[in-house]
Amino acid sequence: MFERFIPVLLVLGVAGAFSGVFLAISFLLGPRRPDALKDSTYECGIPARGSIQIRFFVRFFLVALFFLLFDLEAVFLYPWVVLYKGLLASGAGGFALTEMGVFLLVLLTGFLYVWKKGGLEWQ
Amino acid sequence: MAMITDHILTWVTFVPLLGAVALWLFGRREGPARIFALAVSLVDFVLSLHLWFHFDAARGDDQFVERVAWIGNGQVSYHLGCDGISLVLALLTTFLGPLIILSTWKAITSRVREFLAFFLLLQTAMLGTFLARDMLLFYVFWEAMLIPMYFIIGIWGGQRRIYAAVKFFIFTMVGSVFMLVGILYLFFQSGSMELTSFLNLNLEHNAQLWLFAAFFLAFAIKVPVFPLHTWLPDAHVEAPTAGSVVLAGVLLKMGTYGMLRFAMPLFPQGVAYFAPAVSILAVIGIIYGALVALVQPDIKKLVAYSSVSHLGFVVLGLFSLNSLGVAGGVFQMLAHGLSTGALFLLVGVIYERRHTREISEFGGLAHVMPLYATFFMIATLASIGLPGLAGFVGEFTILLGTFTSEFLPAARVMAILAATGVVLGAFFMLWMVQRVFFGRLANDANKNLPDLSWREVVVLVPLLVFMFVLGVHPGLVLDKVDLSIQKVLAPLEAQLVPHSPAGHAAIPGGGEEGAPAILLVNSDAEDLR
Amino acid sequence: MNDLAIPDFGREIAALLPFLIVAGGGLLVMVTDALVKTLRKDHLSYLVLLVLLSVIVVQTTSGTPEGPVLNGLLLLGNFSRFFTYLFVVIGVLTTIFATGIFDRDGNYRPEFYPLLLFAILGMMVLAAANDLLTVYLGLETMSLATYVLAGGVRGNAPSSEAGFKYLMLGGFSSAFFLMGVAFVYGACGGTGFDQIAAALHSGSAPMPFLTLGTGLMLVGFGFKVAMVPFHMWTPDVYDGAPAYVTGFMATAIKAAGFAILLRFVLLTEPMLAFAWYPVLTVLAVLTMSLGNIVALVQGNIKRMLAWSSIAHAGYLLLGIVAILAPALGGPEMMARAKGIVEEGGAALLFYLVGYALMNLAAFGIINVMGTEPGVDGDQISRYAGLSRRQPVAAATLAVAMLSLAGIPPMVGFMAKFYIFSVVVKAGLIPLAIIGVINSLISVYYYLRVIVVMYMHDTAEDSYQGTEWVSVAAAGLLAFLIIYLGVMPEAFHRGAEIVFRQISF
Repeated sequence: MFERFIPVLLVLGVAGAFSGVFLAISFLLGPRRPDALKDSTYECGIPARGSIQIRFFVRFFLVALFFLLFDLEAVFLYPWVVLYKGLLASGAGGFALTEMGVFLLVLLTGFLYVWKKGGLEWQ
Repeated sequence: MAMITDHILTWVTFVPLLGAVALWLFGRREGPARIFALAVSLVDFVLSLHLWFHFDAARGDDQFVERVAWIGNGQVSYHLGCDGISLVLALLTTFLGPLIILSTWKAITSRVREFLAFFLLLQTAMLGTFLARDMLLFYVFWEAMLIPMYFIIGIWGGQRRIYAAVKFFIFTMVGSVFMLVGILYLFFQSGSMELTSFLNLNLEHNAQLWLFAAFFLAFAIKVPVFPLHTWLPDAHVEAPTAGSVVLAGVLLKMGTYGMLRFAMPLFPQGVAYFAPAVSILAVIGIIYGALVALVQPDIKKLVAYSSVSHLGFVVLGLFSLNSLGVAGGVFQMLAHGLSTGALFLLVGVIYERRHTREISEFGGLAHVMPLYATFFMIATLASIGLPGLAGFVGEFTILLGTFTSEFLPAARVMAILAATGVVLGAFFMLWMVQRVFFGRLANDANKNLPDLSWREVVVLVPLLVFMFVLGVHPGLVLDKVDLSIQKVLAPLEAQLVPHSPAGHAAIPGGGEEGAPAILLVNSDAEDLR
Repeated sequence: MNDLAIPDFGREIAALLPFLIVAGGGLLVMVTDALVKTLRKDHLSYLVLLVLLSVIVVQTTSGTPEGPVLNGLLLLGNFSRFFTYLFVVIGVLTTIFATGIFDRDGNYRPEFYPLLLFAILGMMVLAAANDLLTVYLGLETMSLATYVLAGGVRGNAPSSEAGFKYLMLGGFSSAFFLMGVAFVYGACGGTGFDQIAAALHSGSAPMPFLTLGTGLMLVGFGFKVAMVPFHMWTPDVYDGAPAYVTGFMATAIKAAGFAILLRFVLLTEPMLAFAWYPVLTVLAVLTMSLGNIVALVQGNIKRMLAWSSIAHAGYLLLGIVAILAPALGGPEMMARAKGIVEEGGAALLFYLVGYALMNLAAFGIINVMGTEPGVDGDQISRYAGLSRRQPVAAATLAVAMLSLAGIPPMVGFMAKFYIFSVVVKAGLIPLAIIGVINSLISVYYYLRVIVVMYMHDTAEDSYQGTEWVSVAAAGLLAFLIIYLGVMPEAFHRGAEIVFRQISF
């Protein structure tokens, strides 16, 4: 059964080889004349200013977390959808529907909490 | 009444506990609390008198027995019983109780209610220790006793009270935890915590040695046997007077009682193996205690070291392994409780007046406090064993028992050495009395000291009376304990082989045939009375 | 997945009702907190108490079905019920203690209440788990809630440190545990306890994977119960977390950890006793000794109790070692084995309950005495003269300390008595001796607290107020400590019955 994966390996190998070859060529052939400007962080003309360790506003993380949470939980809906037809056929449709309903209810409760606690406001 | 007499041991044991709980009702009213506590201890004493009068001395076994299953399917039970030995010690405890409470009337002024509650708790724990016939129950009481005593020393004690209290607690715990392992081992072997079921075990030789060592350590620390005595002077000196009295009067006896009740009958081979070493330690204790007492500048410390010496006698008597010596040991426990208890009370009296116990501070007190001096003298004489007073009977019987012991090596040498301890004891006590009471009244601070108050007289007189009573009529106690001692020693008889045929060559049947040599020596005890 | 049996809806719901009540209660409290905008939040505490009490009522009145539910993911019965009671009671007391502090400081932390309920839910799942995945689920539900509880004092550096530290190390331990689950799954072909037991009995499971897997899982459990060498987090977290949370962690998490450890050890015992036994013996000795010795030098009462809780984990491990001993002994041992296993299990359960009582009593008082975490409010020296200022609080703490030290007639003595007597019965006398030496060492530092409270003079700036509800609750615990110390039999027998359900 492993033969089927040979093309994949082939692609990986070729891609690796190509990038390796080009890197090696530029490394070997390219002229190198380093100066202060060239060694600076950005070569696009704007000198770097201030610390690079910027403190992001904590709200970014909060929003990112909320997104992650609700997005991830939505993923649980997919297997349920796939199985639902079979469950319906075997007579457990009501059960499955209730289960998902409870799940969504819990999710909504969390959403309500976040909302009412001001987690979604951006002051 | 029947409700009380049917469960007399429970009542005797737990009346003080009930009193301690009821003390919480008194709030901040100290006077009524004192009177209530005194009444409780008196009631307890009266209840224990019932034991004395209804005890059948013609039986050596446990009487007034109460037994209720406690843990497991009766493997561990609430089992109280009272034989002659327990009877005497329980009575000593309840007898000292009211006297001690009365003695604290002026001495304890802060946190009175707590003090009384702790003291009553202590009474319950001590009585339980003497009456328990189930090993776990015994252990619970034995350990529970630590808590109130720890508080009594630690709260109401002197300068270094915390050090003394913690030392006391830890020393005692060190011994007892190993005993606990021993108890658990026996429990596992016999499947029951009953003392009698332990007696029926046929333990192998090595197990007996280890178990004896574990039990003996626990009891020896409590006694204390030299060299485990270092906690005692600290505890005595730092404890308040009442604490010292109960410590010397009763607590130390728990150790010797434990040896006699548990360590000796349970592990005869252990006894046979260790008896010589133990008796040597006892003799060292006797002489060492006396010598150290000799150089003490502090009266209380002096009395404390005299306790080490006197309890050395008790241990020596017990390990002479004949009923004469053991009876002497039991008697000495009682006598020591009375005389040393009285001495500590008397030291407390002078401390309350002068707030010092340095011998050099005093001198010529007999001029200003004649009654006090008289009482002190009597207690001292009782303590050093003047014939006619309680101490004499105990020490003499012990020496006789040791001298005739067939199981100790060089028994006679030991008896003689111990006898020198008696002489030393007399010397240091009388020297102290001389320095404190006689001579010139040099120190101005002593010139106007009041003599004993009526309350102090009431506290002391019962003790003095019993010193005389027991001195002239020791049979009062010995009759009660005689058969019990024989019964306790019975398991030992079969196991012991006389160390040397010397001693009583005339005893028919010696030890070789397994004849009860111990019983035969008993005839001496009969003569003594 | 098509062979998934469709469960009997009504039976499942009835069986899971206690779990559902706690879960639903948690959500309800959460929503109430969000919707009711008042400054005082003590209504939440009443709601939590109502939820917890209804769990007790439901569990007591309705005969919840025994046996496996949810396709064998959970195993309900005496064992799970026993622990549910324990967790709920601990939860009730923790709620009382916490609310007392919120009221006193006028500073409510409303998120405490739902998190407490979710932590309890996780513990209940853990104690009822019958599948490694449910174990993981319960473990994480419990842990995630506790991470936040420990770090719950916002703006307080030690508390944040505690939460963060607990989170990081807890994460590691979860990873170890999960890795272990993977190995065991690979070895046994399933994660259900029944499947594992079947694989072990048939002997088809490859030993290296099994040993490795259970070893990794042991790391996870060891972390939760604060077993040496996975104990490093304990002092910092116990110290940094507010005292009411520390009390909760010291009692409930330890109980939950030992519940699942006990189940897992019994499950794998037939094959793995030879591996468990030496490891746990060594760890038990190390745990006891290190905990007690380090506790000797602590000046902060919470840190001291943290080390003491490590030491107590060691005593509890002794019980597990004793349970394992028969499986290794000769034929003579096997004859007694059943008795030892049952007594050992009962002793363990008794110990957990006794330990919960005395620790909660102690933390109840420490909580009242303390200030914000990290401020020197928990120095033992602050307790100087407490017996004069607050006799009830001092007496309660004294009883708790004496009980922790194992002095009769407190429950701590009886608990140790049961454990040590099983250890002796299993023929492990050296272990029993090490155990008693350890409890001897522990006497010293427990006594120190009493010395300070009763024998030192009053500290100048020490706190004078009284949260009488908390003190009364702790005082009630002190009473129970003595009561169970004098009358342990009925309870111990109950513990034996409970244990019988899970001993295979």
